[in-house]
Order: sequence, then structure tokens, then C-alpha cells
Amino acid sequence: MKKIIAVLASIAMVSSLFSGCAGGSQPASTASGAASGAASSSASAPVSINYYGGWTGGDLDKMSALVQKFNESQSEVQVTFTSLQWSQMFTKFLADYQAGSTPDVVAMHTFELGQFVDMGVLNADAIKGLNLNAADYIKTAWDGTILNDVQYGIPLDVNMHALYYNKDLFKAAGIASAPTNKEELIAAAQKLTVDANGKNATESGFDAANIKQYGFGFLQNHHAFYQTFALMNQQGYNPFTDNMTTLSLDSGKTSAALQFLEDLVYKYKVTPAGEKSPIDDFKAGSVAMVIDGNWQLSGVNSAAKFDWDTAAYPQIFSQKAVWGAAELLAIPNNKDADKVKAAQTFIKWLSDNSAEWALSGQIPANVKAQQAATKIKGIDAYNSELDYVKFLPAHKKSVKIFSSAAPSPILTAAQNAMLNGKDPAEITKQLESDINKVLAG
Amino acid sequence: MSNRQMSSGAAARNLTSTKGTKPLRASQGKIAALFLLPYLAVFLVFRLGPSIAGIAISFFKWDLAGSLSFIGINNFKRMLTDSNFHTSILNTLIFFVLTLPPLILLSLLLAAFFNQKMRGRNVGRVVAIIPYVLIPAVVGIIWNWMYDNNFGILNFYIKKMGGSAIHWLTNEHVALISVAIVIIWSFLGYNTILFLAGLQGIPKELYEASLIDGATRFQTFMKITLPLLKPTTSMVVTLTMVNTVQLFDQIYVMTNGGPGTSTLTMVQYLYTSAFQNYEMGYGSAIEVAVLIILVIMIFIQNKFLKVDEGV
Repeated sequence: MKKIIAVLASIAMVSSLFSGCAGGSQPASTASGAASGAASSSASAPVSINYYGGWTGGDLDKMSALVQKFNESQSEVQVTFTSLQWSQMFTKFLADYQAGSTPDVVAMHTFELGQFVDMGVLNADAIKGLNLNAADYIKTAWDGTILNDVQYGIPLDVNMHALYYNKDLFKAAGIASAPTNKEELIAAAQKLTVDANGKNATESGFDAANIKQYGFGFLQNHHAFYQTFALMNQQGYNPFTDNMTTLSLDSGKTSAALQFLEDLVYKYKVTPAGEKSPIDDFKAGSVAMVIDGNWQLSGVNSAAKFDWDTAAYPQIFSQKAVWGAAELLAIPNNKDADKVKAAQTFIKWLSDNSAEWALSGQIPANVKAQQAATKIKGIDAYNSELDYVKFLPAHKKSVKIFSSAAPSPILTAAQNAMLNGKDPAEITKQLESDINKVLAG
Repeated sequence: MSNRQMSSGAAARNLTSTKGTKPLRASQGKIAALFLLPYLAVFLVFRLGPSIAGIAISFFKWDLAGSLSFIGINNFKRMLTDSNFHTSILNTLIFFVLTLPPLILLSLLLAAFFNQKMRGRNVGRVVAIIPYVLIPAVVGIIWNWMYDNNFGILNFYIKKMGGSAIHWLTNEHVALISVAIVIIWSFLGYNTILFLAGLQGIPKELYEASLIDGATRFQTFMKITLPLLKPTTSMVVTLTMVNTVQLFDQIYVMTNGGPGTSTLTMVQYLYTSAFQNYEMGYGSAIEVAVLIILVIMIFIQNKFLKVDEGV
């Protein structure tokens, strides 16, 4: 990793000396008319473009296969696909952009959009030039590509949380169906939390210090905040907006959301404190239910040796809501009109042909592709949540506010709740203060 | 190492001496420079250049995509009021205190042990160095599994012995200590090998003389081994300081600076600021702070472990 940092620093710093300081090599914004420029391009030589994404594992294989399929389907555009972890990919994107060799297509999440729009690196006109129709896309995903009435990308897919449950363990515990609300969830989780002597959490003599099987698991990092966000929305409360300059949190509602999650660990003792990889615990059969995203479906399908299924994220408060995010494809500014045209061709094709993307557990944002997609086991629960999924805002400082790495306001809040069992009202106060510091910075 | 220093010192004297040996011819000097050129080029482009650029960037505001704007010492002023930066300094110093003494003392003891004549000595030396040659990210992942609160092997045995599970990486009071244990495990073999090289450079005649004079083993260790090991100790302390203060990989993999900010070290904060938040100027300013702290530490270390010229 030190070497990676050194390389990145070198790129950044050397480029600052030889290109950035000169201030003249930054790619310029290209008008929607870029498409017309393609007519002048050579009829024989294909236009080569670079496409950066942040997928790893099974997702990466599926995306690589799609790119290869595109390359084989025509001879005008050839795409070179590069995938790194998201944050490293974005650093590479910006370093390449600064050096004047920008990638032609970049994938990102909706909440990351604000930062790049603020930097002025995205070509909104190229997206406008595609003449996309809102009705062809899932509404939440479509809305996620628009910031201040300007569209900056084409929606690719939607991700959400939902409940994975082990049907064999449910059957053994005498539970008929997946929980849908708070009472059912706690009751099921207690029955499914079993100690070394075989007693569950509802029985007297249950030994909470020697639990062999937990009832309910979830990631206790930034994803625990994502659940807090969902539970705030379940109370009809969402204080986060695209253009917020200060934040004032409703202590009652935020605390109630945090308290529910804390209680699962410290009051009901059905969730393992500090759980690192709930989906692996679920696959191993040591946790009966977990909250995780649809990106895990492919892995669970291939690894689980028991009967399992998914269910919608339980409704704990007065209305349904679940955290989600959408991925989109954006076109960075580029003086080369041929490359912009080629990028337009590619992302439109990818969107229209994203049915195969669903095989990795993703929900294509393109409605026709979604309908044509082969339904991977477990996807139905996620599809059922599309009407009430809630996204984090595309604020220009969202990446900092909602960061998954320390120091991060939401990570501190989530870990204070899940790992330290601190007073939710105090956590809320600190969260508000930490976010306001970022907003003021 | 001391042998190498002595022999290179002798070589240098030979090269500069006009008595008994011919002076180095100009053509030989050019050839020597050519041999040095590849490393020099790499050093200038990938080490010295970026380092100087980093110092320069610390006076700018730069998000990596746009142009740089000069802001004077504002990035350094910001450090004064940035509580996360203060936390990162404190964590770095605590981490340094947690790791440096064990890494020096344990490796010295281990080196003394492996310096004895015994069967399986070479196998032991190889085993000792294995943790160091493992890729840091792999080390982090392995220990992540071992430290798992609920299903990790350490807590399994602790529970077997009647103890309570320790939240190794998820308790803000324990996480930094847990990471320190991993680093000690990881670097111990490397320091041991360095000390071993130093021990083997001490002439046996000195030990034989002390034996004849009736010195105890403890006296021999204090009066002969430690003083003659001073150049090696100085080097090991310097390298350990640099390695621990600049530590990034294992923390990135194991805790990512959490829980909260309990394992947020200066280099971790530098990375987050520069490469996740794209505040390249502020990240560079933190880099300058790391450099200053290291220089101060090495200065202090040189005061305490001053190596006499010609040793």
C-alpha cells in the first residue's frame, strides 16, 4: 500500500509540476454537438476509449464480459475497461484528467456525483445529447443522476439493503416467515439466537456470553449509519439535502433510529457486537438473518449450502423506507469530439444491454433491461423495495460526510452506537456537530 | 552491518590515499557514475521530486482536478484547530511508544538466542523472518480473522479458558494495542536479523578475554555486547521509528482508522485527506508534519545513541 501511495503521490505531484501549474492542459468542456463531430472521424479506424469502474469480484467479471460483448458487437468503438476499488479509481480518474488523458466513461454512485460536479469535470452536455427518456428508467435511479436540474449521467443500476434469512434455521426454530416489523424481527431474532447449551434468547438460563448462533447480523461500519438513515426515513424524517449548508438533526427521531440498532446488540443480545463480515457469517450458518445489499446475491447463491431467501427490509417505524444507492455512467470533459461520441455510443449500449448485469445481483436501472433480466434467486425482495428506497444526497461534500474511512462523521456515529453502546442523544449531538464542521470547511 | 561499514570505510580511505595505491582514474569515475545513474534517476523522479513537490503543494489548495491556488500557510494553520489531526498525532505517538520498546528489546533477546550454537538455529532464523516477508495487506487480513470478536481463534481460546471475549479491533480502547501487537509480530524478525548481523560482527577474542578476566555473562553483555552493538542499535531504532511512524498498510486493512478515530494515525489521515477527500494541499501539509516529527525523533535518538566516528 505504501507503494501505491508513492505512485499516486508521484502522479499527483509530478503532474502538478509539469501540467497543473501550467494551467493550460485541463480538458475543456465539450458541447452536446460533440456527437456531430464524429462524422469527420475516420471511417475505418475504430475510436478507442477508456472506461473506469470500481467493481471487484463477481461484479467485475460481469462488467468485463459486457464490455467484451460490446467490443465484439461492432467495429467503430473499442473500449478498454479498468476497474479498481472505488476510491482508488477516482484518484486515478482525477490524476489522469489533470494530466490531460482523462478516461472517456466513469462509473460512480449517485451520492458521489455532487463532488465531481463541483470540481467541474463532468460533461453534462454529452448526456443531454443522448436524448434519454425518463420513462425508460427506474425513477429513483433517474432522479439520482440529476443535480440542480442538470443531468450528469445515465443510470446503470440500483443497490439496496434487504434481509437475507436462513430458511432451515427458521424451520428448526418454528418460525413460519421472514419478519416484516419490529416485533416480529425481535421475536424471530431471539428465537434464533442460541447459546452453547442450546438455549435460545427467550429461555431462562440463556448464556449471552457463550452464543453459538446469532439471530440477526449486520455490518457495523458505515452501513450501520445507512440503516440509521433508513430508520430516520421510516419516521418520515430526512434532514440530508443536496444543497445543505448547515444541519440540524431532530434528536428524538435520530436517537430512536440509533437506539433500535443499539438495542439489538446490548438489550436483546441477538446481534454480535463488532461483527466484521455478516454475509460470511450467514453463509457459514452462524447467523440466521443478516441485512446486506443485492451485490451479495451472487456470492450467497454460489456459497450457501442451505435453503435461504431474502425479504424486504423490515418496517420498524411508521412507514417503509430502506437505504439504497444507484450507480451511473458519466462522461468527463474531453476536447476530442470523436471520443465523446464513442463514449455516448458505449454508455447507451451498456444501459440498453444491462439485463446481463443483473446476473451479478444488480438491478438494472433501464426498465426494459430490468424486465428482460434473468431473475437471480433473492432479487425479488430488492425489486419490491424500489418504490420506497432512499438515497443519500449528492451534496458536494457527501464523500467526506458519508465516508467509509476515518475520520468520518457517520462512521464515528455508527461505531459509537454499535461498538461502544453510547447514549444515542449524545451520538446525535456529535454527528450534527461533526457534519456541520465538514459543511463549514 | 558494522563489518560492512568498516570495510567500506577502509575502501574509502584507500581510494583517497595517494600512498601505495594509484588514484582513481577519471574514466573509472565515469563508469562508476554510470552504474549509479539508474538508481539516481529513479530516486530523483520517484522520491526526491515528489517530496519537494509535496512540500510545495502544502502551500496550495488543490482538489487534484482543478488548478492550484496559493493559500500560504493556511493548511498549517488549519492543523492547529483540526481535532482529527491532533488525534492522529496522539495515536501515532502512542503507537510509537507501544511498538518501539518491544521491537528493540524482544528482537535483541531473540538475536542473542539465535546467536548461540544450537541445533535448528538456521531454521529458527528463517521462521523468525517469515512474518516480515508476508505482504502487509495479507498480514492484516490474517489477523482480522484471528481477532474476530465472535468467531476468531483468539477469543475461542480465551472463552475456552473461562475468559470473556475481547473486542480486539472494535473497542476504541483496545484497537490500537491490537494493531501494535500485529506490528511487533510482523517486524520482530527483521530487527532480529539486523541485531544478529551486529552480534556476529563482534570479535570472539573480546569474549574470550572477558572470560579469562572472570566477567559474568551479564557483565560481558553490558560491557562488551551492548557497547559494540551501538551502531546496529542506532540503525535498528531509526528504522523502527520510521517504519512505525509511517505505518499505513495494516491499519488500512484492519481498522481503516476506526473504531471512531481510535486508530487514526498521521499517515492514515494523510491518505484520507489527500486521496479520498482530494485535499491534496492539506494532505501534503500533514506529510510535512510527519517529516518534521521524524526528523525531531531521529535528532533525539542521535543524542541518546550517538555513534562515535570511526566505530
